[in-house]
Amino acid sequence: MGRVSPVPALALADFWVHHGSVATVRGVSLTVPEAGSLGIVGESGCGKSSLLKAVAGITHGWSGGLRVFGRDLGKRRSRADRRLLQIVFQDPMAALNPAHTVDDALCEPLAIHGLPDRERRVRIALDQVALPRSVRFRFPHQLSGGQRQRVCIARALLIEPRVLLLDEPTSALDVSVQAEVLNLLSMLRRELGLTCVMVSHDLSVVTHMCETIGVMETGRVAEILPRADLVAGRIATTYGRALFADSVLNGAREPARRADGSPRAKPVSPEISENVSEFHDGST
Amino acid sequence: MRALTRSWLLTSEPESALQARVGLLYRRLRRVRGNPICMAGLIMVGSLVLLTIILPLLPLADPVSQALEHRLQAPSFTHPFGTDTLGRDVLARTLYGARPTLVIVAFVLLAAVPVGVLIGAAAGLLGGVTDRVLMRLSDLFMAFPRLVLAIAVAAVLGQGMVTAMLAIAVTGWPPYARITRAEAATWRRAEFVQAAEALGASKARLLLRHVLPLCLPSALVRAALDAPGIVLISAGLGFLGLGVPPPTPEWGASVADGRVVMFDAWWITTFPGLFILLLGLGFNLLGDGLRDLADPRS
Amino acid sequence: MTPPAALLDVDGLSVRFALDGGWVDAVRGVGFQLGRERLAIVGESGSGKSVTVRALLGLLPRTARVSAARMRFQGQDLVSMSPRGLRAIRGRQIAMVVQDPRQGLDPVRTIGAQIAEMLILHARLGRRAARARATDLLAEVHVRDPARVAGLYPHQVSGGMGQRAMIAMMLAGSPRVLIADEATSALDAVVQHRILDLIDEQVDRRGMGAILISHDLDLVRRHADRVLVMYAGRILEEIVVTGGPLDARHPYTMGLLACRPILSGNGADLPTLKRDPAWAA
Repeated sequence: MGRVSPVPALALADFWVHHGSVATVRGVSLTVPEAGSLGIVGESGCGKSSLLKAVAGITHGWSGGLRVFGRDLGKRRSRADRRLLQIVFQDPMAALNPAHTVDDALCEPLAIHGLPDRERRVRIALDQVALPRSVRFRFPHQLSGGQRQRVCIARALLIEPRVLLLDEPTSALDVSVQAEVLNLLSMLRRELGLTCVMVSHDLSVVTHMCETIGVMETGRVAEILPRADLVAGRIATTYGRALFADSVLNGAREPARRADGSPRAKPVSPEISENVSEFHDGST
Repeated sequence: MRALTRSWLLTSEPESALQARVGLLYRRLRRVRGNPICMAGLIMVGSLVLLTIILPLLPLADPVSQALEHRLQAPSFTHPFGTDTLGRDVLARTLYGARPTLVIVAFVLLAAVPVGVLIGAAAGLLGGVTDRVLMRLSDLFMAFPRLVLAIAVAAVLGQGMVTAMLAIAVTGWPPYARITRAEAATWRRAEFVQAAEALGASKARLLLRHVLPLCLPSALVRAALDAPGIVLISAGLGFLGLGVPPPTPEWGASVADGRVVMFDAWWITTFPGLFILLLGLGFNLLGDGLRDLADPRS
Repeated sequence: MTPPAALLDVDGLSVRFALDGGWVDAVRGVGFQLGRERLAIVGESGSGKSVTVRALLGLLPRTARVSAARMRFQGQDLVSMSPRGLRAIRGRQIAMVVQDPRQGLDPVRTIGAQIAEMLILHARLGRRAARARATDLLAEVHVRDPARVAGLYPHQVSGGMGQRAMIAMMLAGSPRVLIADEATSALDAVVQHRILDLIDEQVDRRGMGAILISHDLDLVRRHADRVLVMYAGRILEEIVVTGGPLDARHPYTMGLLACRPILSGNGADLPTLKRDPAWAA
């Protein structure tokens, strides 16, 4: 009664992203509450990665309102702005400079933001992501995929952001490693009270990690669902339903072939138009 | 103090930044050793450089003293490369003649490469107007034919090693700028550069900590492949009488000296010419080998 | 039902790589047979699954040493075959589709031209006939408006479309065996299944054998008849796919199946795989 609603961790208002003359994100508006988690799914080319990179301040061709904890963020970000939100990329091998050791990579945010006490902070960061001390001076090509992604996560968390953006953080990882990284992310969320926005093409990953899921189609957010609705299949969008159908088929009990060896007709999934991609948002 | 053992260098669990870096260097040097072309080039260039350094210690004749009674003598035991038109020992003159050339190569590369790489990296990283301006600047300097410009500079500033170095270096940096710019433009789009940007890194930091170190291997390869050209230009200047003033021995000048008596006293032109060839070839092989090896990810 | 005639017969295949003064055993004593069926080889990165099929086709770098007790394609011995013989088989009798279609497709030529080239090369068609057949092939792989797509360049099409073009190219030689090496890993979830459905259809229609290499057990369960699970260069087990949950016996496979997030999960921490060093023995 009369309670002021808490400031959302992330608020987008009529957010547009352009790549040259093509609009990859068209007028997206959404909010994420503090310590909440939003998952974004959509087919390739729908603009989900574009959206994330623009919000992270990596690409500059965007317009609209972007607020993090009530603070307006523009295209030019100050150091204080950068400390509010950070991003973890899809391919950990590409996200680490091949000529820098793990120590170099972790010291970088500390050096940029002038944070003292490097030795201690790096040690804490390594412990936080369950990396042994022995990897500290290795180069990225001497690490496994899971270890690299942990380094990337540690690097993003060193400056203590409040919002963490994740661009398909586990799609380049083996399923066993994915489980470890997802558990790590869940734990960090709990411990640090992080707000997460995760883009993924894997519905099970997204429903595991996120309370709310948004489905994007051709640059717009077609619908936003709470997890319970998605799991129950109460989905409106075409792509969302197709994704759901596939996830359910993954748990299907019907054999793909009949007893005489001839293939059973595939369940009819709604038509997804595989258009010639008109825009490249960096995803395949 | 831990011993510099092989296992310390090759360990997969380095315990300090120093160990990691030295270990990486060691691994790279081992690969150089495994590449026969690179080794051949290294040996050729290296032995010449070494020779030049220890020259004063060798029992050679004085390259400058004339002995007209011994002029134009064919190669013999006392004068393995014969004597020239003024009776000077050609072997001594050839070996001492390496010095000006090597000094010029060293200085030109030390001047041109850093300037070119820095300009190229800045152009590639910053893009836009900066890129266009810097590349037009490099076009400007690249448009000058090197030898002609060197002659012009020599005509203005007079003869001498400094002139030669200046002239060659001034036109020498654009290729480095161009290749570095192309590489920097590619690295600019790399995700780790984007990650650094997302962390709040300044352009200067992106340039110096990320992009430049990754562009260096290509620049080094190019430098090794550039060296033969510098050797030839320096010899060319000497041939035209625009290099170091006589009586300092210099390959190009020696080749010019021997021109008039080339068919009777072939040794005066041939030996310096042969050494020009050897040094140029050595650098070429070194560059080829380095090009095969250059890759920060290996 | 008569047993399928063996298209591929492999026994005791081992591959080692020379690395930094030592040897790395990427594949250790792998053996399997492929008939007119869909065989999946599943494993994590580093398990040796890609190396295995590349060893069959002679596509490994010079640092690799391949040895096998038996490696036969339709009775022909692959171990002792000359590089020329292998080249004749590659692309024509055994075709491979790789993960990134943009790597397999020439960026400066149109899709139609590239498919036509394969037809000229492998099916010995004339230029005009090849162009026409290229469009037909694109239609066969369910590309809508094939004539238009034939005139496009690889960078102008989406990943899924590019993969269909790759498959069309690979089918040009009417191969006996199609290998899909993580062919759908770079595509998004729905398109992945569509592409694999396409492969299923072609395998059925043409009576080919197919090898699907993947790290995704859910994917292969829907599209394979048998699954070989590889770990550290060895085959740990073979599972016949029945359509229900995979009948995994080996603790590694069971561990992999258990650590996937599932839609009906409750968000609690996922079980993780505890690797037993005995599996790599």
